[in-house]
Amino acid sequence: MATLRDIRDRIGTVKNTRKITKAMKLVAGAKLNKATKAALEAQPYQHTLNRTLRRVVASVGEEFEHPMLSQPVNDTVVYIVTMSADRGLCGNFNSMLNKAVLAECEKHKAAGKTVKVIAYGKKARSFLEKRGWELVGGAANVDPSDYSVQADELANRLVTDLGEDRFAEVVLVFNQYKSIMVQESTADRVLPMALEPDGADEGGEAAASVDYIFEPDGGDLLGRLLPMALRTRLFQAFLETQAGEQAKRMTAMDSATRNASDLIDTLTLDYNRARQAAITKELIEIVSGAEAL
Amino acid sequence: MSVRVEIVTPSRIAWKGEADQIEAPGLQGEFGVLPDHAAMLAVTRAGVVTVHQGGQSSRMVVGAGFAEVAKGEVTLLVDVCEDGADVDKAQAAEDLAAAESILGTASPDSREFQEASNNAALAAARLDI
Repeated sequence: MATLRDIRDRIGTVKNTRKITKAMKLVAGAKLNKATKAALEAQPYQHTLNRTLRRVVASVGEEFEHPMLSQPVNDTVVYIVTMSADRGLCGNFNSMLNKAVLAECEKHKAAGKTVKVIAYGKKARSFLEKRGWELVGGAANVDPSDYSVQADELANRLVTDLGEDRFAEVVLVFNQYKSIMVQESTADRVLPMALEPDGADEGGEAAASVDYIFEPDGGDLLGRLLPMALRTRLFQAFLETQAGEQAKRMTAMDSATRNASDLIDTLTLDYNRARQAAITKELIEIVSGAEAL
Repeated sequence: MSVRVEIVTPSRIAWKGEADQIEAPGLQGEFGVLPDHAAMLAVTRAGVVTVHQGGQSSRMVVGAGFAEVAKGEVTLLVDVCEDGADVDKAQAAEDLAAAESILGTASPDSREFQEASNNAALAAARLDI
């Protein structure tokens, strides 16, 4: 049976743990606000860019050729780009992503391709390295303020590698941020790009209904738009990863705090019971001692 | 009659409002947009955007990007957008000098050269405002 002191010490440790998880929850909450705000503010740019792209494609037509749209000659190498968190204690955020990345890697390996991985975030990097996948790029501990620079560099690198025919396709695996409670791992091919020439705009208007003057001509314009679209897509993946990580951490730390409180309640009950038992025992000793006299 | 103007950067909407006229730096020269302009998509380079509203005009430094004109709306998609009042001219002069020294040495096909020429145009626009 645990002594009074044991229980008291145990309550102390659990209280300290609760303090930590509570602080982590608050910090994650503040970071989440910032991250969702950044993701939200980046949306108008993405929407406008995508809309513009669709309109240009609609008017230039399918016959237009651009390196970023056509299948490269190389058909053996697959690049997998992924983004994870740098730290743990954020629920299943990293394990969910790692599972998806591993599945993607193995799928391409089974198809006889050489898989090369560009991974951002410590967790994904160490996970993949340990399992012997070849890391050819990426970084750990990227500050949110550097996301746009990182997205720029990555996009530039992919375009350069594409020009040198170093890969057949690039797959982006990341945790899509749907809401605070829901994040989903997705794997999408980002290069060569697939364009949907038609489809209604958000407002429901048909994309091809407006006859545009292009300056310079449509082909040149598309050539400039495509790298921008790639960069924006990568940037968005960074933002969503950050938002998702903080959301997961906040919910994980919230339940940890609640569990700690429950544990403290139970332990306090045990402590009081043990204390009462000790007092009763002492009283019995005194009384029986007095009777013996 | 006015045009709705939106200047959008990757991180935020930098400017939004109604204007009588807007001038932007196109790849092939400055262009102005008045209400009822034909639908147009144009590449813009780093430079100064001027928005005229009821006799007043505000000037902004923008990075390279795109302009879309459609149905009385002008949307500028640019890398950066800074209000004319916030520009640090001393810093801009330094940037310009740094960029020009790279332009002098780097090969014209390299990415460095492209970046430097972009930076030089941006710095020149900042000095220009």
